Amino acid sequence: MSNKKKKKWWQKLIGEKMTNSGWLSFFIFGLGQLKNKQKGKALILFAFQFAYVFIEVITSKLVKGVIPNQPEYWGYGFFRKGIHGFITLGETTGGRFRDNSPVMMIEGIMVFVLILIYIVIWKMNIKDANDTNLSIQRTGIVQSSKAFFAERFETGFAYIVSTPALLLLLFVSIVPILFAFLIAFTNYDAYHNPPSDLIDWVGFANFFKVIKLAGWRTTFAGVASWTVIWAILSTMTTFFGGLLLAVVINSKRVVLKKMWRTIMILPWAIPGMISLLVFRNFFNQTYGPLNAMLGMDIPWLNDPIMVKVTLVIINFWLGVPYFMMLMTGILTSFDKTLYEAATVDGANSRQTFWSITFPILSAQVFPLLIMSFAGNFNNFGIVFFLTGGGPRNLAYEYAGHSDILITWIYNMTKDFKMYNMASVMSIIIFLIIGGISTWNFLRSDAFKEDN
Amino acid sequence: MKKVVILLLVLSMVLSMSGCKKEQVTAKFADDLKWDETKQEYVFEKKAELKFWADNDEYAAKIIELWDAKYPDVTLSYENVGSVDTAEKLKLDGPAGLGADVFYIPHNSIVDMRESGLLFQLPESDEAYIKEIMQDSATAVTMFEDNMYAVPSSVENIALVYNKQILAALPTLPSVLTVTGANLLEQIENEEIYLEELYEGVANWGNNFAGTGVEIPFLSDRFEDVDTTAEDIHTIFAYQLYDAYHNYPFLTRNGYRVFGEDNNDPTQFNITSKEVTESIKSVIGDWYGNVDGSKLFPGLATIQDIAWDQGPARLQKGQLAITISGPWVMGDIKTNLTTWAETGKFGVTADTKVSDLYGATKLPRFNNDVQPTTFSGVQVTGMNVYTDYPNATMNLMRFLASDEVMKEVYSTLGKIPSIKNSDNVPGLNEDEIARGFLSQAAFSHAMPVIQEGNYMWDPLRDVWTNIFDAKMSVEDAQTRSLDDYNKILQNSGAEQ
Amino acid sequence: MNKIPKKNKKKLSPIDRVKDIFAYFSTYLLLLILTVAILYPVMWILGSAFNEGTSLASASAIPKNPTLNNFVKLFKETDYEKWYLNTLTIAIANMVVSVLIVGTMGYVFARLKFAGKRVGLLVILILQMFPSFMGMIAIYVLFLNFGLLNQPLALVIIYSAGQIPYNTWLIKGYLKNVPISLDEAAQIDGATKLQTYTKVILPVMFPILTFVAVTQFMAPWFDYILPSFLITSTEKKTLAVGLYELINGQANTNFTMFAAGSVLVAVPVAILYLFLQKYLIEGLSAGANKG
Repeated sequence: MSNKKKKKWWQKLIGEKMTNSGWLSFFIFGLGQLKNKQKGKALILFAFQFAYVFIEVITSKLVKGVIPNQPEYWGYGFFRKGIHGFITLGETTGGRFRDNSPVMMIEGIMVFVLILIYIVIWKMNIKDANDTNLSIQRTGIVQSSKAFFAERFETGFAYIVSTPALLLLLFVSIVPILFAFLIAFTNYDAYHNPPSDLIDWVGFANFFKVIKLAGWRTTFAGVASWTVIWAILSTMTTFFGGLLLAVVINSKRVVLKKMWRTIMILPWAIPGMISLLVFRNFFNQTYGPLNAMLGMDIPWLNDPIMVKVTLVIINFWLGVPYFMMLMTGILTSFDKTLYEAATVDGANSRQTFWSITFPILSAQVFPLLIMSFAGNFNNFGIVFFLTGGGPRNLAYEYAGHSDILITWIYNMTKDFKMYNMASVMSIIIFLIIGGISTWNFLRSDAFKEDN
Repeated sequence: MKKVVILLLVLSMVLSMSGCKKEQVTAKFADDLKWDETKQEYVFEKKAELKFWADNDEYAAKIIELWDAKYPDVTLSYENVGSVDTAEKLKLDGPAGLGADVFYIPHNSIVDMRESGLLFQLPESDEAYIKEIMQDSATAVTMFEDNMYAVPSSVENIALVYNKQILAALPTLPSVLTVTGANLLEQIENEEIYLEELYEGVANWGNNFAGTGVEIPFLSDRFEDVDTTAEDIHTIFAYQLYDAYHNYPFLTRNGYRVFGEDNNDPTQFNITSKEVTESIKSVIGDWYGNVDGSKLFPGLATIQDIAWDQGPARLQKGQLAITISGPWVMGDIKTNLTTWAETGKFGVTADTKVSDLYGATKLPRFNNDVQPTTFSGVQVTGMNVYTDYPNATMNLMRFLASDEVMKEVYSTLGKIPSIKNSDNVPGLNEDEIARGFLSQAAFSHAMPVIQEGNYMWDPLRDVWTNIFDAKMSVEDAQTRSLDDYNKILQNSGAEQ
Repeated sequence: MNKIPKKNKKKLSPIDRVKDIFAYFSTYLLLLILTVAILYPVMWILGSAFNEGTSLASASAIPKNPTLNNFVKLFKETDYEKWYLNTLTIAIANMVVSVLIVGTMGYVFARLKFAGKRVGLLVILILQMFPSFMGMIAIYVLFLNFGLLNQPLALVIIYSAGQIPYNTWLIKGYLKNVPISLDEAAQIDGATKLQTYTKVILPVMFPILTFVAVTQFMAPWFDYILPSFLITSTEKKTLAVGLYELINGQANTNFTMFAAGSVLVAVPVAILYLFLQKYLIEGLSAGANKG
């Protein structure tokens, strides 16, 4: 406490100094608040801690009873069992009651997340007890819980209203991702079949294995470069196509705007799966109606190069409506006078568009383009339903000419159950795609402006 | 930030730990079962409720109706779950207590589900009973280390399926055998042509109607526009070329069997054997002269174009004369027949039977007088280990193997029941098309039920792709397939 | 931003007139080409729904004997109406929940300053790019633990949560075009943040929220993977799952029925879009900006 201005790390966490109230709250949530005469706050905090303890007790053998001969850890409460299960990934096999390793791992991850939340609340609870106590010591005024919450709602508005969304994301998005990530450090493969078999942590063994396999390097390099090209092409074509359509239909010359827009939206309104199934026959070289109509013999889906072109074309058809709709919506937020100037002035409209509308627009949608890029990077459906990865590429393992990384991973898990290897590949892919995206994001105006 | 660091530390600690002591806790299921001698059934648990998974609503409704008539006190419900999706779904639903008590699965799912410990192992008494009423080849696939894990329901295999109207109009093809038949239909049904000769003859016609020089009956009914050549191609003989299930028979001329004589010896993949070389060379034969075009049928479709749906689709529309497919193609044809009868298409009237228009028979022999061997698939019922009512569920398993259900398997699903005594299923013995498939069934063996069975498909298929698409010599193609297979073995962690 | 001086439109030289006609011509030509490119495959998809038989492989755009059989069978032999209703419920719930969450999040992230904002959303967004099929198992176990398995609510949660980062960025970008002076004016008048949001920003966001609403409404109609894992009972089956069962498995090859069922999905979406277009296009933001 030598330098008063610079707070030490623990002061940031728990307030200026530990008070009696702080110590009370350290052990029992809300007790310090009670001492500070803030009953409402105390009750809420206590209820939070109570909920955790209650869950732990009610899920333990104290309440649930035991199965004959059950291992001791089966009687642990939800939280303790979760952590134990995560570390061991199960110890009993055979029979009807047994450990299910993946489930234990997921429950463990959930427990970790819940404990993280617990710690955050704990910290806030202690800090609040200290701060309030010190404030009372200084001023002698006790702020009512009601007044406190009213004030907090305004100052902490951003945090409070985004908490539900963040909690949702934490569980629905982050927990599954953590699980998929951690599989890479296990021996979850065709020879370890839960729930009958247990799976184990194997550290980095799978990563070493991937490095050792020469065949995978060739496949990875080939598939990855096509995936990147695919993601860029498909994002760019749909974006510019959609923009063009939006601008053209918005133009003063076009009458019946609603009709045009509704026609253009149709490919998006029709469920993608049926479109892709129809397209598969539509582009069939031998039997397809397209070649019959054109009177040509174009190997739409059978030639290594052509199949890629076809994929981009079909993706264009499927994806343009979305971007048209998006651009139409965004263009309306533009200053009307600007926009009118751009469209009315026939001779200058193109220049105006490129010099004014487009830069603003692109800065604005840049983050969306990156996300769209990532979406196309992992666009499973179009490749799976249309080509199934074909035509075959002799140099690849489990992949064909049109396979992208995500379908390649799928092949590994579906037929050969190489869950662990697929997870390793996922991590590598993620490092690439995440890296590119983060780099782009950090450079983007959309991000920089947010200081 | 600190929290992240701490979390990472904890994680890395955890990850570095491995290999904990494992102990076994076994709760035997068989102990739960109580047999009632007088009723010849298991003693139903009180308040038992059962659920089964199948993928056909109509069939399920019939089953529930029959069950309710027999066991009115026990509720049986149904959920539509695709039989190939069952394994993955039960891995989650089973332990969660949401799985069905009984489910239909293709027999090659047994490996995966058994390894995952999801299948109830049948008591010996039931095993004996099932073996008594079901065909030996069907029960064989349900066995592992002398225990039975599932009950067969129906069997299916591919065979030669053809349009009688068209074949009857076509002339006979040259054969070294004595040909007494007046047309191609009789020639095939009388087995007066070798497989190689059929291929060659069809290829010489260019494999389309135009090349036969014969007027095809009801040609304008078959095609929207008869003049469009694009519609009128590849219509005499087509089947799914890019698929091991359909191509396997053509490897078997000289005695090759995948995974050895019992099809389940993982050391006997043997794709590079000289039997395979000879078989392939004989099948692709002299008429195969168009390596550059990479076509199995010269000048016609590329391999990938004849996907799984093209053959059956064209056959049921009357646009294809011969295909190689399974009994499932008949379902569509039956539906179409009613529509055709209304419009008079193909001269169909209300009295026309499916067997008047279409036929099925075993594949033609190879020219060394050996019958091609096909894979067969057995549809089986499995019992969920996690069931709450093992006795009631066992009764349901037995019920689903009974004659009254077998009748529905045949009449509603159009599948061929796997029971020994086909007399118990009315109409089955008189069914010409079913008999056609059965004639090939005698030359079928079940798909392997070992883990390696999942790895064989791509290498088996790609022997052909390597020849037709990658223009490899037959021997190179075989070596390549073996390499691919070994790689899968290695990558999947088999060496551990 | 620079304002472009308006030219007087009345005085058009002959050259301008030719240019104008040419512009008209090329605009409509482009539209016509695109319409054909879009409608031709649509016609095939529609046509396949009216084909006899069950296969798509030999279906044609204009069937020789068009039949309504596929539609009739869909309503007679399946629970199509029930699936439709189930999905509609989920779609509407998802639409409402998403708009509520995302609208607020968009406002918070676009207008308010707070620690961790920049990094927070970016991290989640990037993490969501993790490619995986295994995550499904985790979601299953998660909902099992929270007792949400076999509840349509589970689907609403997933669909709305999954799109939060994307849509938040979307709205954040949109709000960039709305002058901050609007907020400041409100705050000077003594409005709280909540009031500023509901009274000032929300009306301005209308077009983009409409867009979010339409896209979120779409999600449940197409997805069959999640519901087939999370919803087990026949009663609660969604449309995509029901339709997929028609074509899943060797014996189930009702592709034309599948097409018929899918085509019927496009109807409410197209109508919704037609109806909401005016909010999407002639949004209130233009008016707000003029002030």
